[in-house]
Amino acid sequence: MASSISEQLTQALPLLAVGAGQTLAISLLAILFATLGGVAYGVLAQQGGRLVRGLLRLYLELFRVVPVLVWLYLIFFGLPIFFGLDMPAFWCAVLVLALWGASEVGEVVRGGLNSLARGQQEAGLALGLSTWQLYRHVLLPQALQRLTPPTINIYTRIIKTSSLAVLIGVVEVIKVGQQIIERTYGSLLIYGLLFLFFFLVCYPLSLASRRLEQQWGNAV
Amino acid sequence: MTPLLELGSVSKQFGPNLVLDRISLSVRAGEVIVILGPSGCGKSTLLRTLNGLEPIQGGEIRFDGVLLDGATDWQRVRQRIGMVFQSYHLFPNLTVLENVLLGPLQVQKRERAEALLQAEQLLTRIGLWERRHDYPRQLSGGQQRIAIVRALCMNPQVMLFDEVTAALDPEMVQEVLEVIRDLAGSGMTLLIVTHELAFARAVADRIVFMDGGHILEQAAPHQFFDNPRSQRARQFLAKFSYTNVIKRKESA
Repeated sequence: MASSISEQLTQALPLLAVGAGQTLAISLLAILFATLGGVAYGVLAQQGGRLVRGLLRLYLELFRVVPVLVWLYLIFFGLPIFFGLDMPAFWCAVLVLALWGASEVGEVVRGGLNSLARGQQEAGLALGLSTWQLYRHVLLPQALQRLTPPTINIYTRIIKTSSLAVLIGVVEVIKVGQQIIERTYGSLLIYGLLFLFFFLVCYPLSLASRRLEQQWGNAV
Repeated sequence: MTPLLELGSVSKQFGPNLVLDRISLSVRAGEVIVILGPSGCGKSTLLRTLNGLEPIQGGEIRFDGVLLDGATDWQRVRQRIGMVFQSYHLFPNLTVLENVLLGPLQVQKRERAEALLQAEQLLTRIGLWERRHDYPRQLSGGQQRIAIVRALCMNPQVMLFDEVTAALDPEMVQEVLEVIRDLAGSGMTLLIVTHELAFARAVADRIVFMDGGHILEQAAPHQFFDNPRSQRARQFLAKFSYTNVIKRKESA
């Protein structure tokens, strides 16, 4: 029963690695879709008409005021009931995190584009740039520099929040940890490892965000 | 000869404010027009209607005989009517050279080698070719002249200058005005909004004086400055010569 720590480790680590793989897969997919969706949101929020902006606002508020956990339950249990759609828990988690992340990234992108002086837009138009060229060469690159630090912070929040997926039955790193603890009672060791895992994934991001902020802070 | 630019009764409103009230003006090719007037008289707005940055609510604008309206391909027109702004608006994410080449390469789809040659000539002329790989923030001055080169590299027929020296340090003003004077001498059509009265007098073929959204006077420079017809123009000139005196006293 009371096996040595090194034995516990050799048993736990491979299992935890599989769970960590799931956590990272969910997070990376969610981050990817959140980024794409967020850029689309930001551009639409600036360019779109009243109706589009109203819908985006509604979407944003829904994700702001309703906890991510509630969204997870709603999608996971609601889709089969209301739409007869049976989506695996893994993809439910990706979907919810991506939608939530996109609303957060989108607001950052919108704010960044708005903060670029209107003059940049007019200077681009006056040169004869099309809307697409204006965004591609002038507005988005400038927005990107301003937005990267806050966006990276959102990424770390997505990674951390992915742990909620355990509650709809996704076997990710925390679930694996709990399973090991149930069998070995080595809770301190396992939670220590989980702590280390999230720290090692998120701290470099946090560091990079701060670096870029300093580096680009006075660039634009 | 048909005028290059012709405005017929152009009106522009911002909400309830009538900023341009039935403005009519015709500009011949090669003419240098300086638009003067107190702040808020609509002179900047007038320039901005000419390249579609401000849509108009009444009247018509013709460029080279063609009506400019909601259906106009403004991207095409803007390649022929360049504009330079008060706070230059260089793109901070691009180097000097990239700023200048963006329009020629992306909008006009010109050969890089050919556009580069023109950029070199223009930047050399203003003495900033050596700084071509710098970003705008790395320059201590010359941003406005680069903005002018950026517009010129599109080979426009008309250039619009919107108070381009108003935000500059005094020592930079001269350099920018010289570039514009060279352009005026080269036969390009220019519409210039400025508060530099001495410059206006030296460079203009015609002064257009605006107040309250109207054109009150159009005259040759010597006529306008020596014998302004309207009361408003006389007040305007008196006020400016007064502030010029103050300025000179301060700098002395």
